[in-house]
Amino acid sequence: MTRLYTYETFAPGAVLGHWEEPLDPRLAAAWERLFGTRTSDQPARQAGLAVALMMRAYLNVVTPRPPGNIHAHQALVLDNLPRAGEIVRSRVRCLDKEVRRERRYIHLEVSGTGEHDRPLYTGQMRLIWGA
Amino acid sequence: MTVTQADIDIYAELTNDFNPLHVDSEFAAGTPMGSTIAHGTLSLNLIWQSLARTFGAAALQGITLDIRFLKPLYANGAITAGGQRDAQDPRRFEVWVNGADGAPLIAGHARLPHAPLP
Repeated sequence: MTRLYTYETFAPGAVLGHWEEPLDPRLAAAWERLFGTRTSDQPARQAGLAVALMMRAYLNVVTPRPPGNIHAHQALVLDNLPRAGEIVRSRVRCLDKEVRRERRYIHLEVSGTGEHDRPLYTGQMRLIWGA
Repeated sequence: MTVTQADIDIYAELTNDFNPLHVDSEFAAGTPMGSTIAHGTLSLNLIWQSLARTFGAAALQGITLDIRFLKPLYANGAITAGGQRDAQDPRRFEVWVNGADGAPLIAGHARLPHAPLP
């Protein structure tokens, strides 16, 4: 079993890993179950799926995690929207960590590229870490 | 949108985020939250819808977003999203997701380099 990612595990500046997966039709179908199928929502769906791929990359790389982490802040640049079936490659990096008011904050960056290395997204998330 | 536990469970599948705070009512009851809450990025989708319906597909290309998750959205809570153009910078928008009582759950700003100018 891989060691649990605790606050002490994170090293600012370190690449934690990479994750690659296609923008699967099942993900788009799940999004539409939640938010509908209006034609005018298609770009919103692709933006939402970019965020889902970002979260999936983080959650697949940074595992196992303590229970109860809280997503406190999110910055995001969407260079391009991912296309159906496109293979998305993501890199997960620790930017920083700090303890503030007895809370453990982890600052991660997840950047994703699509076919022919076209840039898709760069997300920076601040999480309150459970342990 | 009213976000049910079933919606939260679907979003957990979509993101592979099965944090028990979202999907395990027994665990969540033992935390300061008291009960399960939705993933913050679930509610973010209403901001994408708001922007896409207002400005069209091109507006989301190159968008920069900076938001804070201010308050939790509990299962069965209702949310509304919207935004307002910055008077000084027409490509910058304040964006928000509010709960049923009007209190902001998510707040921040977006820059849309391809948004039509007023």
